[in-house]
Amino acid sequence: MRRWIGWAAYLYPAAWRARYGAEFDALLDDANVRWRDLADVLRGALIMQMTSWKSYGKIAVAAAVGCAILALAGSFLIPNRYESRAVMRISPPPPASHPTPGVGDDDLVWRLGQMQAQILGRRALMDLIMIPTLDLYKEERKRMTIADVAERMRTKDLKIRLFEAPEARQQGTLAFVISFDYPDRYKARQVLRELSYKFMEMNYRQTRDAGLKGNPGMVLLQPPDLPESPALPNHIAFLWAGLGAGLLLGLLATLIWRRPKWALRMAGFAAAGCASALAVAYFIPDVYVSRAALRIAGTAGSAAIADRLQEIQQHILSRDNLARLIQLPYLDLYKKERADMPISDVAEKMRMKDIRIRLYQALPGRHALAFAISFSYPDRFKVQAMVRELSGQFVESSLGNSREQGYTVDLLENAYSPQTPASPNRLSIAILGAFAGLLIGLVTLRWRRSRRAQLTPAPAAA
Amino acid sequence: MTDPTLLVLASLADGDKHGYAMMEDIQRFAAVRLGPGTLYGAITRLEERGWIRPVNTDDRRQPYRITGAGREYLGAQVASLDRVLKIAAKRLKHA
Repeated sequence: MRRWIGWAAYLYPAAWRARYGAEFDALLDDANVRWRDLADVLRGALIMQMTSWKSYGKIAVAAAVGCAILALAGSFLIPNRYESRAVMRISPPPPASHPTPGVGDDDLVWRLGQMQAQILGRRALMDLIMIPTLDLYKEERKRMTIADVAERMRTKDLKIRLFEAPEARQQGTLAFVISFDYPDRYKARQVLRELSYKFMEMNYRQTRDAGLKGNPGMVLLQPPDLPESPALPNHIAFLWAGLGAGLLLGLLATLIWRRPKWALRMAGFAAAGCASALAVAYFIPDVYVSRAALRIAGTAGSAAIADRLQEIQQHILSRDNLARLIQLPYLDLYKKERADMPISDVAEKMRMKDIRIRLYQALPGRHALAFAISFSYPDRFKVQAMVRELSGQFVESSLGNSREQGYTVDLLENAYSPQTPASPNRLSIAILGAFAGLLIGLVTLRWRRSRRAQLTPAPAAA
Repeated sequence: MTDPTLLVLASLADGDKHGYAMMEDIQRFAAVRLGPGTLYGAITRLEERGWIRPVNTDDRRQPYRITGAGREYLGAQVASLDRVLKIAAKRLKHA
């Protein structure tokens, strides 16, 4: 027993053993130690380990290592995702083959954008998902609408990266990498095959329709590969995240251990701040945003196209037109506001506050501009309907036109019905509230401490 | 009363003692056996607070002595306990 307790004494911090080790050994030699003394020594060692700042560092490091191991183990429970890639190249047509000014120019980025908008549009992706041999996102389709699944596929799982083709003979040739990640590596490759064929097919159709001679070709430089190893989860990233989180947790735990009352009070202030912020956020109405993407194209330069867009915009967003839209029976917007102010003021307020038109930066020499129109309102179905009305008016404004005879407006992306409100962001509000609570707590506790120090009488002189 | 710091102070109040002597003394006057971990936990805390201090010795067994601050603290604690005990005894008589 004496030997076991002697070994247990090694669990005390090194500094403690240096100071008390010899006399502690002497005590163990003199005392008739029993089994329960082993538990007593172990408990004493644990307490000593937990009550020195050096040991706090050790605890934080131990927590970090523990969390890192847990995170790493957890990352192995996440299903693997494989990323298949294909590399394609698109070359500009020879200069002599431009039958119409502004059509067969070297605007490859614009052409590629147009192809992307169609091939990777929500409708096209929905069709792709439902191909029986692919039958993608089965589980997700049980929880979400197919449109949302397609949107998620486009924004999260599909990636296109454009770069100058380094070894191309023709100047201005572009290459792009298209990648898709999915839990099934065969399906990931199959999706990329489908998409790359669609790009080739559309390129052929575009050049044929534009009457271009020669072959302003698109070449599949690297066919979709079958990934051998999973791209996700990134075990190293999990390890680092676990390490960081563990370190934070460890430091927090040591702070609570060292100053439990202070930590408890601060937690109370943070919780009160969080609860107050959430209570305030509860009274803020949900606001939904819907958006549609459009493109205006013509034969003139981008500045002239921007001017044309400005003219159309002024007409569509005029007070009269907006007032008419507001009062459409199936929209019937701003009921409360209409009771308090004239309809023209409501329309003005709507134009200034709730409608946004965002113009995407045009590249020099381009003959098209992309823009997005968005509307925010507390009803998610009405925001969609309103954006559809507005985008429809933009498209109608160019009906009967052609690119050569002025301009055309195409709908790149139709308005969707948002599932979640864009504001208020209750999580951010809650976090901000918690931080505000912590700040108030720090100030209050400090103030109370200084006040107590002032009230305590100074000790009488001996 | 089972607070190890008070027991150690009470033991040292009648003279310097090393760890094993304190253990024996406490068992005798309080009928409490402090384990080695508990005893040295209390000694560490008391020394940190300046209520006891080691006495020079060549022996492995390190004796400790109660300091003036330690006596003052022990006195305050004893007075407080004494007050509680007197009130409790008085109430028991009236019950």
